[in-house]
Amino acid sequence: MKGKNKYIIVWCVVKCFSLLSQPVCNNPTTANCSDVVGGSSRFYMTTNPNIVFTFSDIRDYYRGIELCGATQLRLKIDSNNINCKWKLIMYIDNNGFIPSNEWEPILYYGNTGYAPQLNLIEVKVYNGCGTPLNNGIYQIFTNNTNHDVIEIIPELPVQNLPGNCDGNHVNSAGSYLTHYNEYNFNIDYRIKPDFNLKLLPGVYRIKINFCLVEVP
Amino acid sequence: MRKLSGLIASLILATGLTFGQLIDEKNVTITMDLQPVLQLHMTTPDYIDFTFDDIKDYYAGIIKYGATILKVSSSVSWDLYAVGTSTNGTYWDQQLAYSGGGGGNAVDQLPLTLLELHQYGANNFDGSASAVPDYSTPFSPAQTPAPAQNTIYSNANPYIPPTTFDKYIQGHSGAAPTDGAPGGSYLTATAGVGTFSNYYFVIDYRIWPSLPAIFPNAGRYDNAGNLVNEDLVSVNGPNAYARPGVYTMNVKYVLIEDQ
Repeated sequence: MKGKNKYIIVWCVVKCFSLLSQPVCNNPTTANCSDVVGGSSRFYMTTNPNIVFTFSDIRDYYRGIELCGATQLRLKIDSNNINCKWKLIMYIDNNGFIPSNEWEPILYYGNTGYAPQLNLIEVKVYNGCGTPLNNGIYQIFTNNTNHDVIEIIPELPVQNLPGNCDGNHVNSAGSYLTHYNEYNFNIDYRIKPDFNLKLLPGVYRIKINFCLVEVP
Repeated sequence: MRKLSGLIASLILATGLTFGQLIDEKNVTITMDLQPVLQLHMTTPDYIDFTFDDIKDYYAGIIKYGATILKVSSSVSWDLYAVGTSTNGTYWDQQLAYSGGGGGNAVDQLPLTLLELHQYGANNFDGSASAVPDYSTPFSPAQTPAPAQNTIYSNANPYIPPTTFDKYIQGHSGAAPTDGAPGGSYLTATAGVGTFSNYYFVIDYRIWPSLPAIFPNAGRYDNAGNLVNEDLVSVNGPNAYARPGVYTMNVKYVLIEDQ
């Protein structure tokens, strides 16, 4: 009995370490969907992973800069059984910079002003059938902290099948090849600096991670 | 041995839970380059001539109304100042002397501070205790001297900003929130009827020599806030007056990040 407890403790330690190393995109507890490494599912990002907003004219500050379709995600989800469900989320990462609500500074151009906060970046996710949560609406990371999450396809108790194109959050097996408007996601980004924020000029960086994971 | 095999089995169990399961992640790095933008649009003639060829011009002075219009756009907090400068330190450059240069008391070192400015649109971001923080006070009537009230800030190095007791058009020395105008633009800032926004200024110029031509208003405030008269009599003694001739100076308008 004691031996079994030891194994459980070891398992818990390994699992906890695994969770800590992936604080947001947690490992699934099921194996209903095929994986993307050894299996046949695929998660493609077909666009440039480096996005740059350059504010060099006063008009940029007023109108903001919007980068449409800067990120495009395409899914091909194959199933191991009929229970295959998945969720798609994105979370913001400032590389562990403290304060945790600010962009990571790379270079300062001056010495007066305030650092931009994480809720400055706006993201809009959409596709042809409107499957994402808040489809086509600009959203911010409202909790304004590192690893804050915006759900694209949330974890649902029900399984929504493709093909209806009715705005449901399709979360079952399927492919962008056969149901493009349900398994393709376009993402726009927008930044509108506000003069009232009195931002400190400089170069800042964040990372946005897109996590696809199957759910029970 | 049993323990070791059990440990191995548990590790396989733990890692095996993630094998063959759907999980993947893609990353986008977003870089934001916030460059400081300070734009000063100026509408003005290349030269502003003051020709004193009538005795009443000496008595009344000459005013050039609305000769310069300044429009500001800035992404950062800012200060705007005018500075008089020349190749002769803080004196006008004499280009030509008339009639042998006048009599024995004629002086050709005319202080830059004899030039007076009047700005429409007051300095609303001055947290200093300066007696005269800007040029918004109307010109004093001729024959009623008001030394240093509207005289231009001058410096042999025009890129040294005015100090606490010198004048700014907008903002002031120091980085306190009350000493700099916030980012914004004349393009969008609104103003009430009959007023100007914080990003738009109209500048008048005046030179008042008086008779004799001693420029009674020339002067400045020192670093302790004391008035320093720079009219020709105060500087050169009784009976001094300006030597007839052609003089030039340069006025720079400098827009800087609040500091």
